[in-house]
Amino acid sequence: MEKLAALEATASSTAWNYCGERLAVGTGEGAIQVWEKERGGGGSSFSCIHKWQAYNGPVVKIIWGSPEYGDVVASSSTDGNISLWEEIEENDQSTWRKCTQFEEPHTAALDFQFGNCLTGLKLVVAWADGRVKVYDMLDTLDLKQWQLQADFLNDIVVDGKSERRSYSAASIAWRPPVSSIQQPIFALAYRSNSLLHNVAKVWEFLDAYQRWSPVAELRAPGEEGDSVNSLSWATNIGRPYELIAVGSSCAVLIWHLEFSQIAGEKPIARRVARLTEHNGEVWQVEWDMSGMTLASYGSDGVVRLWQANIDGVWQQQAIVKSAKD
Amino acid sequence: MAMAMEEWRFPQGRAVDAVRWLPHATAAMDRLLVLALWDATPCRPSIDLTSLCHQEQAEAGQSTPWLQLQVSWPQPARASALRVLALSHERVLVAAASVVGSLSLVAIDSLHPSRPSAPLICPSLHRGSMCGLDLQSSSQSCVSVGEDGKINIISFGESGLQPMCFYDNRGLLSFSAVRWASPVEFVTGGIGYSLQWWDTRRPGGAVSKALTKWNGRHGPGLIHSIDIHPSRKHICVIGGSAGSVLAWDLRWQQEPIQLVGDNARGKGNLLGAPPIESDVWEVKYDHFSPFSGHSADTGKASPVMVCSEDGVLAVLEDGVAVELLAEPCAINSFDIDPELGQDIICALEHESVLVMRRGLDIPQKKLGNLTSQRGTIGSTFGSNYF
Amino acid sequence: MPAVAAASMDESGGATSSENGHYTPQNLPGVYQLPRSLGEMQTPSMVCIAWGSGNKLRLSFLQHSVPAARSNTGTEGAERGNGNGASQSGGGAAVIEIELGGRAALGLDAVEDAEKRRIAYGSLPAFALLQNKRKMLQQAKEFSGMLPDDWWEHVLEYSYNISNLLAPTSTTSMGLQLDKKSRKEKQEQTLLRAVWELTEIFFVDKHVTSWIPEKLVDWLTVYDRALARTEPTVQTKLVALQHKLPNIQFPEDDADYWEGACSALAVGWLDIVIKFLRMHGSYRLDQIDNRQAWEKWRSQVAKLDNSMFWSECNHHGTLLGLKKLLQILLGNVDALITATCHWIELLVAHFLYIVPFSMVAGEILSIARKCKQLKHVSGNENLRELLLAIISNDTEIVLAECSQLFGPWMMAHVVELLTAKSTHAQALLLEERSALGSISLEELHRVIYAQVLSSHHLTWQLSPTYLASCPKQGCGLLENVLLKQPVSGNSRLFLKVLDISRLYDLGVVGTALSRVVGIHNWKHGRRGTGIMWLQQARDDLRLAAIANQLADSVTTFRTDDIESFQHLEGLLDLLDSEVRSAQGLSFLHRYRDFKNSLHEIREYRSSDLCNPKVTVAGRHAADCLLQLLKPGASPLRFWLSILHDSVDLLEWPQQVLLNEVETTTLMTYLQELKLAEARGDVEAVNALSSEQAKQQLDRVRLALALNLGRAILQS
Repeated sequence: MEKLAALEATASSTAWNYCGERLAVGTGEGAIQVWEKERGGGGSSFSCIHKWQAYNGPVVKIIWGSPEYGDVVASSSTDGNISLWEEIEENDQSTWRKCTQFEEPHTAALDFQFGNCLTGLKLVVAWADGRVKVYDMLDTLDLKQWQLQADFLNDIVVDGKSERRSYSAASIAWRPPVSSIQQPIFALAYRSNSLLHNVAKVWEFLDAYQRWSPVAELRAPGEEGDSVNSLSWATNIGRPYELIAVGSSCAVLIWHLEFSQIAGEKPIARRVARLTEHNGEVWQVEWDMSGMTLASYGSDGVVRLWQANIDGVWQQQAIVKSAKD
Repeated sequence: MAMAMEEWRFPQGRAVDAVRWLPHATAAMDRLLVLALWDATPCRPSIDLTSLCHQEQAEAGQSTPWLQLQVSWPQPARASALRVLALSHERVLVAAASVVGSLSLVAIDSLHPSRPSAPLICPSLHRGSMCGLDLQSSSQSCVSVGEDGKINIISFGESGLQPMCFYDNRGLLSFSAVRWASPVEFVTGGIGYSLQWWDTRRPGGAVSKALTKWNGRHGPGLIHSIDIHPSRKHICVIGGSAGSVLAWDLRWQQEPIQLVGDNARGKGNLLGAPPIESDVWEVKYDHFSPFSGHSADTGKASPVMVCSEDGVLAVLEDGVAVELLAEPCAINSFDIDPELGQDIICALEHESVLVMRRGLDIPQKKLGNLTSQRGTIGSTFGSNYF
Repeated sequence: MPAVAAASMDESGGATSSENGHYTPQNLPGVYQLPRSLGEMQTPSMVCIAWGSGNKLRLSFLQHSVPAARSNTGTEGAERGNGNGASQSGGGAAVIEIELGGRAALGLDAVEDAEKRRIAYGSLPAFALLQNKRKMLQQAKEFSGMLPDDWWEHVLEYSYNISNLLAPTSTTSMGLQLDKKSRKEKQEQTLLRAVWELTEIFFVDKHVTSWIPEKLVDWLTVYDRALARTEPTVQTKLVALQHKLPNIQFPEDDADYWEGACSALAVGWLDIVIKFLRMHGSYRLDQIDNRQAWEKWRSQVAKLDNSMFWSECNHHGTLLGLKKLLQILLGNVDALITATCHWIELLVAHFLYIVPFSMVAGEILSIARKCKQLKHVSGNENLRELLLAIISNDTEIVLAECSQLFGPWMMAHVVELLTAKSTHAQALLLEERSALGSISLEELHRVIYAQVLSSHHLTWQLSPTYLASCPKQGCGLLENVLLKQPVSGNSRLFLKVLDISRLYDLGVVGTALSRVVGIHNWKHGRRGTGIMWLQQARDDLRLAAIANQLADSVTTFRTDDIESFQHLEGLLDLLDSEVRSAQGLSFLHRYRDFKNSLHEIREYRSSDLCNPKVTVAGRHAADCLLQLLKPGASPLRFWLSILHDSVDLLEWPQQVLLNEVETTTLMTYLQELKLAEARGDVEAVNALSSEQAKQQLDRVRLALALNLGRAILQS
C-alpha cells in the first residue's frame, strides 16, 4: 500500500486520466489542480503541477476526456454548469485554458460523461430537469466548438400527465470501447422522487431512426423503489455478455446484458447478483480493467472487492478498512 | 555450427537503460563499465560505475565473472542517452542525458574508479526529453538534441559547464539523435528519417540535408542512433524505425542507402523477410576483426552492429546479417569494447546486463534470416487464435 | 544430502488477502489494512474509487464533501456520507494505491520484487516455447485437438526450465553479499521449487511411476530444509544439534545425540548417520552404509539385536542409542514416528524401513494419509494439504491450495504440469465454463496472471505472451493493457507498445495510440512529431484540420520572414505525398512551392545576378501561381494574399511573365473575391475588411491592369 499524494483538506473530487499518470482534483474552494508523477520517474509520488481557480463555489465533479482529443477535463460546480478545460502549449509553457461551458437555464448538470465514438467526441449530460442532452464536438482539433446532437427525456411522461417530478442525482456509464471502437450506447439512471423512475436504462443511438432509444431497463421485480447512486460498465474483454454494476440505495447489483446478433433486436438484461454487505447506501461501484473485480464503497465507510467464483457466483473477496476499525 | 562466444548475464533488478564500456586503462585490473539504471519503486535513477571482475584462479577451470559496483551517482531522472569519452589515459568523462532534459557530466579516474567525484548537472537544457548527446574531446564540447527541436552545445572546459543554444526550431521538428563528425561538424537525425549536417562555424541552419524518401512507408520514420565511420567522417550510419539501418554519404548522396530493413537496396540483398522488423535502438561501426585482430580499411563497406526491439544483436556486412544474439526481449543498448572490439555489453529489457566475448579466429555463423525469438512468440497469437 | 548448515528459520507473515480465492468459497474476505497515518485522519466523508493498470486500486480519501448540484426545482440533494460541505480541520485528503494480491502475486510472499520479476522474465521463454510446440503439434494433427502421447516429455522439459529458474541465483552474479533477508527469500523460493518438483514427479514424469518412492526420498533430501519453513523437520533438529554437538566432549552421553542419529537414519540420510557415529567416543567404522540385499541385511540386523554384543557394551547411553538405531532399521513404527518430524519424513521412513520400495500408487496414497494423520501438528495446513494432494494426484485440491499458497504466477504455470498426462485434469482445466464467461480455468489463470503482470510498468510487456494463449479473452485484455500505457509522455515506451501491437496484429490499438500521441504532441507545441503520428494513424480528419491551421499561419508570414518559413518547410516535407488527398495540405504544398520560388527570385536579385536564371525562376514562380489558381485549389480566404504576392511577377521588369490569358485568370479571381464580399460571404468579408487589405487590393488591381496592357501589346 502506497500513499500517492497528500491532497489539500478541501479536495472534493478526483479523477484519473486514461493511463493513471495524471490526477485531476477539484477543491471545495473552486480550484482545479492537476497532479502528475515526477516525470522521468515512475516512482509513486505525485505533485501538483497546475492549479487554477475555476469557480467561486466548490467543484462538484471532475472527469477526463478521451486522450485522442488532448488533455481535456470537464468539471461542474454548485452553479450546475459544466466547464471544459484543455492543456495547451503557450510561450513554451503548458497551461490550461477554458474551452467552453455547457449550461441550461433553470437547471443543473447532475452527471456528465464523455464518449469517443467514430463520429467524434460526445458529451452526455443528465440535467436536473430530467432531460438528457448529447453534445457533439464539431472540429476534432477545436474543443471550443460543440453542437447539441440530441435532447430527450429519460422518462416518458405517462398518460400525458405532466406529473411534477424532481431529480436529485444521476449516473451515466458509457459502454466501453471494444477494439478501440466505442458504440453510441450508455446506461443512465436518475435518482428521483418518483420511485417508479429510479430504474437504470440503457440508451442506444439507432442509425435507422437517427435517434437515441431506450433498449433495456435494469429493473428487477420488487425492487423498483431502490434508487441508483452509481453505474459502472465493465470493459468486455471477450465475454458473451456485458457486465454492468449498479450501486443502489441498498445493494451492489450486477447485471448481465446480452446484445443480440440480430439487428433491431433488443438486448436481454439479467441480474446475476445482489450483494448487501454494505448494509445501506452504495455510493460508488467501479470495475477493474478486465471486469474480473468490482470495487464498491458504501455508507458503512468500507471499500469492498467482489469477484465471481468458478461457478459464476459473485462473492466478497476482500475489504479495505482503516487500522482503527 | 555454434559460434565461439561466451556470454554472461547479470540481473540488475532494475531497468538498464544504457551501457558503455570505459576505455581500458592498462594499469587497471578489471574492465570498467557504466550503466544507466532506473529503479521503479522507489524511483531512483542512477549512473553506476561497475567493474567486471574475473576470479583469477577458478577451481572448475571456467571462471564466472561478476559485476562489482564502484560508484553510483543519483540522477535527476531516467537516462535517455549515455556517452563516454577518454580525456587522457586515466581520465574518462561520462555524460548522461535525461528524459527531463538535463545533462550530467562526471569525470572518472579509471585507475581509482571508486574515488568519489561529484557530477556536474545542467538542468533543463531541453524542454522534454534530451534525446541524444555526444562528446568531442578536442573542442571539449558536448552537443545535445531534444524533442523540443533545440540543439545545445555545452563546453566543458576548466571553467565548468557552459551551455549555448546553437539552434532552436521551437518544437516544430524534434531531433532524436546526434553525433560529432569532426571537432566542428556534427550530424543530427530527427523525425521522418531526416538527417542534417551542421557546422558550428555556420550557425543558423543545417549545412546539408538528406532528402526524406522513406517517410510514411514503414513505421513512423524515427532515427534512434547515428554513428560516424571511424575513418571517413562524411559517411554515417543510422538506425531507426521498422528495422531500418541506413548509410548516408554526405558527398554523393542526397538519399541514404538502406543497409537493411524493408526495401533493402544495393548489393547483397537479404533473402526472404527483413531480419529486423522492430525499432533499431542503437547502431555502431564494428571495428572487431576476428582474423587480424585489428580492422583494416579494405575499401569494402565497414561492418555495422545493431541491436533491436525484437531482441536481435547482429553485425551487418555486405548485405549479410550475422546474428550474435536473439533474445526474448528488447536489447535497448549495446557497446563494443573500444580496444579489440572483442567484448560486447548489452542492456536487456528484462532488467539485466549481458556481457559477451567473441572468439578471435572462429568463423561466425551467417544467417540470411534472423530469427527473432520474440517474433516466434508473437506468432502464436495472430495467426491461429484470432 | 541436505546441507546441515542453515540459517534459523522463522515464520513469515503471509499474505493478508486472498485476492484470487476461486476455489475456497467458504473463506473469509481478506482485509487490507489502511496505514495508520490515514487512520488518524478523521473518518473520510467520501472515498473515491479508481483503478490503475492491472490490479492497482486507487482510493481518494476526501474530507470535504459537497452536496450534489441541485436544480432549482430539486427537492433533496443526495447527501453523501457525513460531510456538510465545510472543510473540516484535521489531516488533509489523501490518495493511496493498493496492489491487490501484490504480496502474493508471484507466489513468493517475502521475496523481493526484483527477484519476483527475475522469475517472471525467466519463465516467459519456457512458457512461450511450450505453447509454440503445442500449437505446432496440434496443427500437425489437423486440429484434432489431441496431443500426442509423448506430450508429457515436452512438459517435463518445460518443468526443468522453470525449476532451474526457481533455484536461488548465484550470489556472485549479482555482486552482492547474502544478508539475512535474502536468505529468507531463497527459502521461500525453495519451498516453491519443492512443490513444483513434487508436482512434476507425480503429474508429469511417466518414467518415474515405477520408482516414485525412490524419487520421494531423493526429493526429501533436497527439500526437507524448505519444509522446515512452516513446521519442524528432521533438518531443524539436526541444525540445532549441529550447534550443540561440537561443544560436548562425550556426545554419546547425550540423549539428543542419539535421537538425531535416529532421525537421520529414519529418513535415509546415511552420510549424516555416519558423521554422527564418528563423533562417538569409541568411533569405529560402521557397516550401515548400504541398503542392498534388503532381506538378508534385515535378518542380520535382527540377529544383531539378539546378539551377545549387547552384554559386552558397558556404556549405557551407547547401548540404548544403538538399540534405537536398530529399531529404526527394523522398521519399528513407534521408533520411526518418534524419530521423524514432518509427515513426509515419516512417509519416506516408511518406504525405507517398513515397505519395500516397489509398490503401487494406491498404496502410497493410503500410507501418505496415515502418515499425515500420525504427524498432525499445527503448521501450515495448506502446505500439508497441498503435498498430500500432489501425492494423491488430486487436481482440484492442488489447484485450490496452490492458489492459496502461491498465487497467480504459480497458477498460470503449474497448469501445464497438471494437464501433462492426467485426462481428469485436462477435462477439469480445459473445459469451457459458461459461469466464467465461457473460458476455461486454464485461460482464467493466464488472464489473471497477465493482469498481475500489467500492474507493473516493467513487467507489463510480458503479458502479451500469456494473453496470446488465451483464445477467448486474451485479445480483449491485451488491447486494454496497451491502451492504458502512458504513451503520451514517453516516446520510447510508445514505440514499444506500437511494436507489440504490430506483432500481435492489433492495428486498431496502434492507430488509436498514434492518435493520442499525435494530438498530445501537436497540442504541446511539437508540431512535426504530432503530424508524424497522426499520419501514422492515417487520421485524415485531424490532418486536414491541422493543414487548415497551418495554412492560416503560413499565409500570414511575410516573404522575408524566411526563417519561420524554413521551419515550416520541414513540416511540409513531413506532410508529404501520402496525405495530399487532404485539400488543405495540397494547397499548403503548392503555396510553399510558390513562396519558395519568390524567395529564390529575391536571392538572385539581391546577389545582383541578372542572368537568365532569374527569368527561369520567374517563370517557375508563375507556374506555381497558376497551380494555386486552379479551380478549387486554394481556399477563398487566401486569394488576396496570393494575388498580392503575385504583384512581383506582374511587374516583372525584363519581360512579360504572365500572358493575356493568364492575367485574365488572375483578374477573374479578383472579381470573384469582390463578388463574394458583396454576397456577404464571411471568408471574403473577413479577408477584405482591413485597411491593409484595401491597399493590397488596389495594388493588385493596378498591377493586373498594367500587365494586361503589356501582354496585349506583346501579343
